[in-house]
Amino acid sequence: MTRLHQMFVALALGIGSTLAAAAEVVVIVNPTNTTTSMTVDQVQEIYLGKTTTLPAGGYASAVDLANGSPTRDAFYQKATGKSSAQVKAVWTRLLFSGRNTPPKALGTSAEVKKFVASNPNGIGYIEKSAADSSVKVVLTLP
Amino acid sequence: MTTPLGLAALALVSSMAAAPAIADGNFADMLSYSGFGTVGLARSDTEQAVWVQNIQTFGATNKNFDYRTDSKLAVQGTIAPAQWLSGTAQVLTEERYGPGMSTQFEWAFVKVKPLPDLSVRAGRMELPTFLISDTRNVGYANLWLRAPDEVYGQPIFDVYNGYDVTYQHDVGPYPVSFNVLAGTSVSETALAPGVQRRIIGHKLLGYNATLDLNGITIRVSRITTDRTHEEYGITYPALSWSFDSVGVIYDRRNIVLQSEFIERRTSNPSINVNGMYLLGGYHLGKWTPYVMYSRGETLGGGNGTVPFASMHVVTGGARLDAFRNVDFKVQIEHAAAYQGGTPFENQSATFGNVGNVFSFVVDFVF
Repeated sequence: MTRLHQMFVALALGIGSTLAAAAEVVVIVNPTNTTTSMTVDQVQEIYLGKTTTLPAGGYASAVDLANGSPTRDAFYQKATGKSSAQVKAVWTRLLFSGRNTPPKALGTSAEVKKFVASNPNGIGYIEKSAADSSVKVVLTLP
Repeated sequence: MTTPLGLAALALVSSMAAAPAIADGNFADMLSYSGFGTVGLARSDTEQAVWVQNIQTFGATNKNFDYRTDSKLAVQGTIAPAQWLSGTAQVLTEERYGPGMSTQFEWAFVKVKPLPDLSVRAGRMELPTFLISDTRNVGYANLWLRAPDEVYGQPIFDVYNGYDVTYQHDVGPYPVSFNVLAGTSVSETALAPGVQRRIIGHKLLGYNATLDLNGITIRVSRITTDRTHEEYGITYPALSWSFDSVGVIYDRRNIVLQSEFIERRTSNPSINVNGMYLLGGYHLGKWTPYVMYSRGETLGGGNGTVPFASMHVVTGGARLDAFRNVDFKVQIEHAAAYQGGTPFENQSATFGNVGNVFSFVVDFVF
């Protein structure tokens, strides 16, 4: 009985995390940003450290969700096709070559939204369900 | 020689002093530090020679597990008072030449970005001789257990004091970066116990260009210098040296391919060198098995164009990303050495010039 219970919990957790990983992720910028949409390649360039500027010009102030967040893993898988370990290796290369520093990690989607809403050059990603009028959605990753 | 370094230190100190005036955030927000390291063991299957990498003194035989070849620890700190201004320093402990591990400032530079696409650095920096010059020490950043000595053991210098300018721009959808540098460099190796050779690179000049085609990176570079050395109190006349590298990385979906060709040319043809490697890996979940072939040759004959002696290494290994920020790697290499030399030193008369080396490492970042 106990074993059956454990299996049920494990199954429920498994489905839960699969659903979270499969949830739609949106890339958001500040509402004052003149960019109306971005391509996957443009987002990838910023989040893999290939550029430090936004398509509309100016330094990109990119933020991440914390390590281990299912939305973060889903975002990188969809935007870059890379696992979290592969992304970590890319940023390790940039960081220790002195070329670039990784985006600052924030704990929750609400904090990411608040940062982007209050920073003209801010860019971040959150679950689609968390987006509202305080930020502008420039890319939806299904 | 010390001017760029002094300037970097001065700029760093003054930027720190000016920091509160420039930045809105507090001082702790401007400061970040991180580090990387490797703990490793290597063992060969022969006692008739010692397997040694680069300028290191110690290596592996079948009698010892050598921990010095791969083990290292580094800490890097950056202070960024503004988005256009930062200072970075890295301290690295590893086995160089000499009896043990030593610690030195690997880099200390100030970076100014007058435009988002343009950066200027001054201070002590890595010499970008190779495709992976700047992170060859960072095990976690690389697929291989260590950079192949047939290419990465042939540089003119690892670091230099000077200036560089980098321009980064998108050509269509593809990021391109172009870098030029100028400076001087000094390094030391051991000739005998207590006797050092001091190598000086005057008029060090270089450029490199990198093109990123959405998962395919192509890089070309050239470094030139007038190189002289001092030993036993004698300064030898300068020779002109050049170092060319062409490298490609393919990193898409689960496949990683990486290859590089290098040529070292000097006004003394007997020390000309060619080197190359081809690395291939495949991501299988947390595992990435890989194979590599690497080769080096000295060009002694025909005025420095005809191969005189060669060495080659066949390597197989695997990387396991078991935990966040930590990887494990195992590697077995089969090496056919230069006659009487690299990578097998102190050869006995009966040594067959061929040996196998087994290595295990744990890489970490923090």
